[in-house]
Amino acid sequence: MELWPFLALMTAVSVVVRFAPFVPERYRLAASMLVLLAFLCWAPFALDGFRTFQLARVATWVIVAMGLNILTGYNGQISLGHGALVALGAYTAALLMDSGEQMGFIDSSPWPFWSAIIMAGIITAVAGFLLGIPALRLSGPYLAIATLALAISFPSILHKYDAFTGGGQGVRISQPPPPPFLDGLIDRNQWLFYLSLLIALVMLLLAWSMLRGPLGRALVAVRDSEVAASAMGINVARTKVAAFTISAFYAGVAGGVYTQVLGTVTPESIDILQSINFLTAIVIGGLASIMGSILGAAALIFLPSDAPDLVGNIPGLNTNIVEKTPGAIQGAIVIFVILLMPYGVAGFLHRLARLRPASVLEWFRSRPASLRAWAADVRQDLADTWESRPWNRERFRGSGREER
Amino acid sequence: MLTLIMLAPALLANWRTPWDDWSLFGEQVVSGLATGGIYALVALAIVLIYRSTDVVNFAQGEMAMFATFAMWSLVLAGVDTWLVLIIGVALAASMGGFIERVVVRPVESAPALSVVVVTLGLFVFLNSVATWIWAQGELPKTFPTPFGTDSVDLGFARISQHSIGILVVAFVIMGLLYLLFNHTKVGLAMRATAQNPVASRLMGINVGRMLTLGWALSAAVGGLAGMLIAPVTFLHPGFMLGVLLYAFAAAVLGGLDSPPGAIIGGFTIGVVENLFGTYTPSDWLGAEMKLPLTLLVLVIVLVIRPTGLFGQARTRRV
Amino acid sequence: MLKVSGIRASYGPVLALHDVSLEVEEGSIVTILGSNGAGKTSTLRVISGLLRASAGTVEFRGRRINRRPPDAIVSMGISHVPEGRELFTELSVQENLMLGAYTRRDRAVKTDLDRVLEYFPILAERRRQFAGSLSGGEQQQLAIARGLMSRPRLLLMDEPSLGLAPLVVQEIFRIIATINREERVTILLVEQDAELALSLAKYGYVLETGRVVIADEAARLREDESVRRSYLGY
Repeated sequence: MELWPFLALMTAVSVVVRFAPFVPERYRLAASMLVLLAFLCWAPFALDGFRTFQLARVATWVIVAMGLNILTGYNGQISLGHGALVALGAYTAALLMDSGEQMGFIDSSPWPFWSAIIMAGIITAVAGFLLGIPALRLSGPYLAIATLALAISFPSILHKYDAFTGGGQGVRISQPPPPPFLDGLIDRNQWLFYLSLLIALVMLLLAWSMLRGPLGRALVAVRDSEVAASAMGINVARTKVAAFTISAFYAGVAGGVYTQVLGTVTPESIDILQSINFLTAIVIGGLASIMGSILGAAALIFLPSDAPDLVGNIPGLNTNIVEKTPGAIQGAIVIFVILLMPYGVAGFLHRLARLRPASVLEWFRSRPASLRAWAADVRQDLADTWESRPWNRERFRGSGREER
Repeated sequence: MLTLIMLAPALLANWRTPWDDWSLFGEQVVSGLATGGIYALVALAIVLIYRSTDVVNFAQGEMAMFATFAMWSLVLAGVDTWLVLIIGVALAASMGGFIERVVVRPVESAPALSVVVVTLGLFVFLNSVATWIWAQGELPKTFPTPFGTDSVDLGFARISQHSIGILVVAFVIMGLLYLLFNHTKVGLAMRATAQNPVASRLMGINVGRMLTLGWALSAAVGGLAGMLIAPVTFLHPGFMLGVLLYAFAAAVLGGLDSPPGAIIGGFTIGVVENLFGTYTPSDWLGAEMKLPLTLLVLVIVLVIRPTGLFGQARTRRV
Repeated sequence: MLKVSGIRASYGPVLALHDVSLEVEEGSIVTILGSNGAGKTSTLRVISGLLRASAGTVEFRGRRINRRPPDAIVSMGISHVPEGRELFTELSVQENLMLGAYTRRDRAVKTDLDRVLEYFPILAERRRQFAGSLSGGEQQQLAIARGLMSRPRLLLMDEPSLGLAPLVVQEIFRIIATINREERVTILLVEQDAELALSLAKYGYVLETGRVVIADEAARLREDESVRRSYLGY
């Protein structure tokens, strides 16, 4: 099956179950989640190897996006440097799983993948903790640029200290094969997909339960007003550093999974563009939202690969131009999404869910008018600018004593 | 003082130091000042937009790149270099104004992070379109300098005429901007709009038009900076990326809402970058680490002064 | 001079003004009274163009102004001194005043500046200081002075006494009366200090939850039982 029909089918069925009248109210949400899960388990068999691989990567990025959302969406600390944390996790896992040839001083028996991933998460969490402390002093764009500096510097450091990191070649690992009881039923590609899916689900569940509890409320309180939060008894510093640490843990785990799925990691695997893309992803997907993290991660993988084709199919567009400028399509899509949905897709869907049909209709009816209004505004601006040119000024004067 | 801190470790080891060869040091400082002038200009452009709209414009570099490529086309068509400059700056200004009116204004009520992502989208968009229009055939392209290609001997160092040209232009622009903002009605209106848009509307200021003007000015300064650095780095779609990163570092170093801070930050970063490139010991650091090292300096400064050297802490009323 | 008819305005889903109508005669001082949230500030904002009315009209000297943007309205001769003053705190006193004259292109700006400083000598002393460094009373004076710089025919003032000591308030009201008398500027005054406002004004409107409930001459309002009990405290 092709990817997009598959995804459409999956969404349609789960939405139907979610709102189905024939399912008892209490079970609707759980049922639709189960339906989604079932579809995802079916996916590697319904789709081809490449798509399965892409879905595995989406699962990896979902973990990163969730972590970044915890830090930026729920806690308001902007990080443009998560790429470096993911790379740290990826390299940690790779070095632990590596057969030890490149690392002279580490115990040369390779770690099993699950403990490598957990260790990657822990090491990165420590790094996040260390970063979170100076980050207490910074805020807003200053924090963003400082973290960007981190993301920029990391590849250079990886290159330079090649005795540890394998330099430009990076580190290769042998990817884990499917366990014996499944051997023959699924191939390695599919197994890796299930692995990443499982880990992603675990991380999402963890996030969901954590965000429902006091920590989640503390994160949001600190984001909205540090002063008010501390007045309510929340330890602001501890909350902010915790956010960094947890977020880094997620990034590290994701890095570990990344190493699994790709089998190799180099300094260029996760560059600064990727760091910036993570932030773009959660903003487009929806800040402070689990669904937003998922949507953003999906956009991250599928936008570059599918958007040019999808857009090229729109009748009337010159396919030649579309082919040559894939970046332009991506950039344009990002801009359009934000223009239409400033709070991200998830934000938009939330508001949609709360709307009543009458107001939706009203909104649709007002669109042409607001479009016309926007066009009229632009025209008015141009007219005003033309009118106020220096050699043609006829302004209505104020009172002026001379008039009395 | 930053350079002294940085050079202190050299006393401990047998590294190359400034006093080994003063003329080398002099040259590095002067050429650092020249590139610093470029960083200062782009940083000024960034600060200009940030002050008036609280938005960090990540597309600054690409807007400049686009304008510079357009200027290159004009040069190729045989237009005189100085005329190209004028047309190019005008082009950049209109592009900036257009972007503000059409892309940024509709999202001005969105959360700041969303607007930043819009500028990121613009970044990718412009880069891709520029590649499509101009980057067919061999890269990078050469861009002529209007200042001549000779070098001048200052006694303790030699610097290229182009570097002198950069410094002169940079200072002229800074002077003009200072005059604009502090001694003209429009400049006063733009400062007022940045501080208090509501009150500005009550004064009869068309706030929207001020914003458009701010973006146009910022784009013009950026385009000029692009044109000044293109002869040195050669022209290819990514040529402003490095400049942009250093310019961000400079703007943040000086304080995102402080134009003099951007200028000082720019020159500082330029000099520090060059000195790191020359004097870091190559065994365990090396010249290729000059970017991380420069950024490290930035981070250290930020930790000491969280809003940059001259930035003002935003006091918020609860 | 100013005629407001049937204004309806809201902030998002919250309806602030239901049906407000009032008239201001040229050369007079008219006051709008009412408790917090009654819609007094919103009325001024509709007049000066900051808030868009969803129904009703505002006419100034025979011209409809309710669909025009604030900068056009200022050029037509209306100046709004907003609640909370809204000064440019990082600019100097002089710069604030010059911004008040932004829409003017005539040469008399300089003489007006001197004249305004005559009314507010304390501002003349502090000409180069940052507006943010002035005291509350001085800031209010600056706000009024800035409003005068555009040579308005109608001056809208929103709670000039807010947060100021009684003596300072008296001084400011004295200046307001002088401005109305000497400069022949019509004044529409929103005030919480009903006593003071009614002593100055010729006509008054009382607003309650977005509607005009009483409209009468100021002298009669001071005698009115319900007004006295609700707003004057005795």
